[in-house]
Amino acid sequence: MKFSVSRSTLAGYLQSVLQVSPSKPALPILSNIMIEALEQKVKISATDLDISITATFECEVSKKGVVAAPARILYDIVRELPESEIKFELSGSKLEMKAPNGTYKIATVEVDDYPTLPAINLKKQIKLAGSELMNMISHTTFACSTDETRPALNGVLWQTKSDRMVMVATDGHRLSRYTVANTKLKGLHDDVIVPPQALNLLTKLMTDTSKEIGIIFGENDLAFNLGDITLTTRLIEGPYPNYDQVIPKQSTKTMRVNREELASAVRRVSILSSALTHQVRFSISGSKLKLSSANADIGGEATETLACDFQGDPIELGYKASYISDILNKVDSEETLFELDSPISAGVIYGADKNKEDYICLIMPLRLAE
Amino acid sequence: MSRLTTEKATNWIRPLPERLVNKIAAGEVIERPASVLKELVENACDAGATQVDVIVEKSGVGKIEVHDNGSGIRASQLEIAFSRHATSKISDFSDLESISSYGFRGEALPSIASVSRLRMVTKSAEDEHASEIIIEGGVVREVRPSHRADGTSVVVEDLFFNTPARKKFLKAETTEARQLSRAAISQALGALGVGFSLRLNGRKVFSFSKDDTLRQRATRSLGVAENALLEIDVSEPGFRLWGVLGKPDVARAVRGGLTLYVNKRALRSSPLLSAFYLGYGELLPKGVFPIGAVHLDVDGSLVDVNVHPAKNEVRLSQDREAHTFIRHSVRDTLRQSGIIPEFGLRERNVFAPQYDKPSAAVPGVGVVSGNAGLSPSATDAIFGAVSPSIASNQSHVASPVSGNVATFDAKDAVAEGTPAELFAGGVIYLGQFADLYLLAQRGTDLYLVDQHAAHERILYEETMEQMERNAALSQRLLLPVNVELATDRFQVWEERKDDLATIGFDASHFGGQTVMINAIPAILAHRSPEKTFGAALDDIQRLQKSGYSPIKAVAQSIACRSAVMSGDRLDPEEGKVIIDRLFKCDTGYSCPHGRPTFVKISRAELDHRFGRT
Repeated sequence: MKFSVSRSTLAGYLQSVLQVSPSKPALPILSNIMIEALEQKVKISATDLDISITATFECEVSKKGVVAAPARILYDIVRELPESEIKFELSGSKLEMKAPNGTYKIATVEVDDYPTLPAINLKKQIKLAGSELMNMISHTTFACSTDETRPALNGVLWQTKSDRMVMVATDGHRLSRYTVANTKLKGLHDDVIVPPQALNLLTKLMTDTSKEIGIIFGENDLAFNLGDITLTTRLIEGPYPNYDQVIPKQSTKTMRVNREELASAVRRVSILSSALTHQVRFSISGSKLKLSSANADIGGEATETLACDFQGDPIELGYKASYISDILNKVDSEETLFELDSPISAGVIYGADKNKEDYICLIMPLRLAE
Repeated sequence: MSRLTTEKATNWIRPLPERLVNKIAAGEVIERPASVLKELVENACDAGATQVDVIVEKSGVGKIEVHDNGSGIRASQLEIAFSRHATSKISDFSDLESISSYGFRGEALPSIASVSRLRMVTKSAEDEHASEIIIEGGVVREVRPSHRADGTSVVVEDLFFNTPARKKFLKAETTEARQLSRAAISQALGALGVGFSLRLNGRKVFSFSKDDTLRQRATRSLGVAENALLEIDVSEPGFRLWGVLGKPDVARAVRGGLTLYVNKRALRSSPLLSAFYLGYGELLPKGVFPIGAVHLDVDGSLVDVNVHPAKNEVRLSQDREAHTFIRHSVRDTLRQSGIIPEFGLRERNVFAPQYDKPSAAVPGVGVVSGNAGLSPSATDAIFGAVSPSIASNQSHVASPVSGNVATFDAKDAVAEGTPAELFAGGVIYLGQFADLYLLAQRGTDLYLVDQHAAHERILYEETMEQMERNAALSQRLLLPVNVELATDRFQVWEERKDDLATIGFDASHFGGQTVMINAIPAILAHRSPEKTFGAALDDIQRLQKSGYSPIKAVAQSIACRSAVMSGDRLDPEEGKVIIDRLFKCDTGYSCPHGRPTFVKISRAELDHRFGRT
């Protein structure tokens, strides 16, 4: 194997691919990346067995070949080298890197030991605007569960239904649902559950959201084609719970409140919330929203009162502060609407100037045990 | 002279009347209602039944009915069946060497009959009519023709009516019910190929068809998902181990979840069970036990089941071999299923960067202090690579401590803190040691506090207090979680659902042994509802045995599960809060399990050690 590539090109791609290379891998071989020198191009790939990233770039290849080498060490060397053309050559079992400064040699690994990346059993392929995908991902992944006893909730449900796409995430305490209309999806019906790690990685790799992204739906995998970089992820097995039935269809109370004011008040009041439950109480009546908290450990209490536009009978409920904060960070509009019913039923939160169908969050209250 | 003779007559040695013998034997075989169920079901299975139905009322004190479609008893043999040591299962001593039936001692029926009112209707294929026998306290009241299809029905009523002492020892009805369902499940998992149903106190506990596999039966009775069980089947000359074992994540905090059958006989306790625990090894933390139903088939001639009348124990002539065999089989099965990481892969690797070999002395930090004789610069040269971590460790532990250590000197004390804090019982937090012990000063004493035990005590008292005030917070679930509970857990839930609700578990019955969890305590909200709920039920079950009231048991369970762990590094603020709150506790000196929370070292003791006195 013999090729040469500019330091900056390689460093950039190594950095992208390294996102998936675990620092403390379960299998030591996974701390390596695979380098394939093909006809006038080089392909580098890394995997943690669930998610794989492959980068392909054009370069001068004088001898084809394939090799696996320790990823971090390779990257650390390349990053530190001054900008120049680096010549790679496999001599024996060592990978040799020649730069104007000098020569570096690192031991390589038997390629046969490297896990084969999943071959995608193609079911469907679509293209989607990068910005749409980005929006869906950034508004949902925060609500995923980490409870291993319900693996489906560890992922984001991605539904494609003829003319729209929906992403849903929930941990059983709160839920987020983001919908985009898309007329190009005609005929495609599919529900997949995607690990949020893969989606968050994708947003890091998506440098230009104005570009379209190719999405390949496989039997057990999903691949995102960003042109020079491909991210492949295993899908999580379903079934996903029927989330539709927990979204309240009607409410008896609605509150409209300034989002930024509420978010910062919650942040302040929560400082004195109980260290165990992090509860912030909402007392709403007339046009006033009173937030309060109490922490018995340090003997502290806090209250703040905000103006709001409230319709319905007065209500008192408690929420975990971080759940409310997470949601308020995502509902990006000036005013937020809360649709409430009782202190034990799910509250619906969405942006007042947005269509409720596009993005809603659900939150379950805390309450005194009976 | 004649007076003397009559006096002596009371001390003569005579054979006991048979009824008394039976009553004494009953004491060994029939301990409680569950033993009746076990003996009758075993008889039914030995009679070749393919369907056994058990109905129990009032937890067995009222009535136990066992119906089977086995071979029945011939009318001519009916009365003999109730005399002691009468059995059709073995006939000479050599049979005892290789017993394939459950029963053989011929004790069960007469024993049961001697302590209850028993009615049996039975028909053998050879007889034209069924016959019926009614026995009260061991006395045959009536034998008469009756009608019934082939098979036997036994109805046992008023158990222990004539042995009040035994009756008094019965536990609460719920406890007996738990024992009954445990006994029935253990039979059902053992007698594959026999349809089996149990109705207990008006509720259908289970119903297995004769074709249900061990996996199907185990899944339902243990209340786990089918994929939570691993198949095990390993053979070696002389042994075969087969059945289902739970994956480590469904292990339980109580032992009863794993049943071992040696030649189909369920063993309640056996040294062989420890082979399973060893097989799981470090996959299970201390105090957590695997679940499953596993059969060990051994050549009958190597097993002695005639150890105890209730036959809950067996003796294996090759018990050491069996122990090793089980341990290895369990380990191999877990390894093949990928639960134990394959170490071979690590070794086959791969690439090890060839750094210069570190000198052999480097590994332990302890070596550093052992080398005090070296000049500082020499030490640095050798341990250069290690010293940053030592330094950071030291700064973590030492800085808060050293800042206040001077206060031990009475002269400086005034400068370092107000006298009120130092001498009027105020507590000063000094720092954390080894991510486990908190150091504090109170008056002139030094306190070493176990952070986990202390936090547990604090949370325990708070949880208790919240429960007493009915003020526990509970996190509602958006997606209620349905859990199918194992029978023992289900019964604990039924008994204790009100207490559980008081602390924030809101669950409702969802049919069968399935419970729907609607809310969990807020302080446990970040955990899996299913696991948290199961663990709480286990804790209640376990702690109740040691005499805890259910509320205390639940409070303890919550406290233990939400306390900071040993090894958690605490911020100075967190450490201070724990110390402050600990000294406000009612019973601050021990954790809810009774371990001490702190060790006190007085100034005088330290002075003495430093030779200052």
